[in-house]
Amino acid sequence: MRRAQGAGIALTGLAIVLVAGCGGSSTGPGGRLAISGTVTYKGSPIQSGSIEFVPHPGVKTSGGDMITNGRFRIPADKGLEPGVYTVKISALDTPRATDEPGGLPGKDPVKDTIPAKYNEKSILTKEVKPGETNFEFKLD
Amino acid sequence: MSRSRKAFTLIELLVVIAIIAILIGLLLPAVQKVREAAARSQCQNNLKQLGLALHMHNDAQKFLPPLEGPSGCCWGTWQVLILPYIEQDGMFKLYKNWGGNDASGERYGGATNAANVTRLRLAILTCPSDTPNAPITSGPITGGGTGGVTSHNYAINMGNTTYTQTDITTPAPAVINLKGPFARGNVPTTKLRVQDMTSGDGSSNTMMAAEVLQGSRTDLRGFTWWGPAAHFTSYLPPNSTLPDQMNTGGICFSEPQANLPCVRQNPGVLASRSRHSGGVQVVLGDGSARLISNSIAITSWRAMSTSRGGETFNMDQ
Repeated sequence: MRRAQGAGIALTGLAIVLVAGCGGSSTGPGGRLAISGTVTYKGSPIQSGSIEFVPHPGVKTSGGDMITNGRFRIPADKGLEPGVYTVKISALDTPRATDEPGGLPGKDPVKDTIPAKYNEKSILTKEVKPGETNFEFKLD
Repeated sequence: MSRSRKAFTLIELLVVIAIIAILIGLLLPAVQKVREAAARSQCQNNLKQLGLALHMHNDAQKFLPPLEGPSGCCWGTWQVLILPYIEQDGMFKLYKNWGGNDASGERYGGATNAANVTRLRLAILTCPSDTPNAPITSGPITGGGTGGVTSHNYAINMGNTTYTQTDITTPAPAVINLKGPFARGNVPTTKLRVQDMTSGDGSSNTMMAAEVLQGSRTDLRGFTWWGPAAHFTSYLPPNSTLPDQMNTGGICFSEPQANLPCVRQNPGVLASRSRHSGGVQVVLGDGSARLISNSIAITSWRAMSTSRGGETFNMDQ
């Protein structure tokens, strides 16, 4: 039995070392922070869209994510450094089916289902700070 | 109980098996890493060759190849013009109607062009880390072609904004187009040269080309026989989690988990993307190829895509 115990302890120790090696950090290179959050429009989560953080002058990172079921998450290695950003939230309509694939680019822009005040003419700005990396956007 | 046993106990066997499993577990990732490192160095070598080909075009013709011809999208791109400089002179001579239009002849996917040129895959422009694709497999291609037209993995640098090289003004703060080393070719008088880089920001501070990924199925990303997919811009950071913007003449499938997020909107904004861990590879104007980290400052990334912007920056930060 003693030998069995010894082996058990050795294996447990090894497992602890292996698991500890997998721990992640929430800060990326250059002080980048992982960003996450939720987006709702008129009370319901945006099913499919995108969110972009447009850096203000002096800020050296730009980033964003696709929004799926009202959620987004930017990993730390592609995250944002602390600073002020304009936030652009879009959910584009499906383009016309008449576009010819691999042909001339279509002339008409695709319509955004979110009002321009949240994307092209965004009034949303956010300051990213350590400890303030989770954002909840409630658009109406 | 005095019977001597000449066998391993269950515990001993289990311990041995566990040790072997751990050793294999250590070995497999190492093997995978070596495979990826080999693929990556081949991708880098391809970029180097592409850089040399672009320079040879500049030496022979006195200007760099434009992104596409004067009529736009569909009658050939830079990829056709560099064929003589990657030892594919035969393909170059057989390509019909480069820079023409529908009135003067067939498109990239027309019957003869598809058969002689665009259905073929150029190994030198294919990165083995990625999955090859041939997106246009059916349906009408004006000029009577049918399917199997190939995608590739390298795109030229069109600067810091969009396919059309226009400012991105909304939402503020705006990103002003400071122009890359290549142009669309819709203005015949602007023939950019290597000298425009050297007398501008300097050829060692300007990217000529970078890696892109091939989309799956009929996704036109990486479809470099077609103008709107034959470029990248630095508006989006390398391997961005933000979507590529494929203009409405194209098709893309958003596959964020495969590093291929996308929306369809005008104008086109395509990021440089790769399957390498940590970054994308680029070739600079001085002919050197290198890896640029995903976490490069967006200001540096955009600065190194402009050839006449006058910015100061560090490629490693």
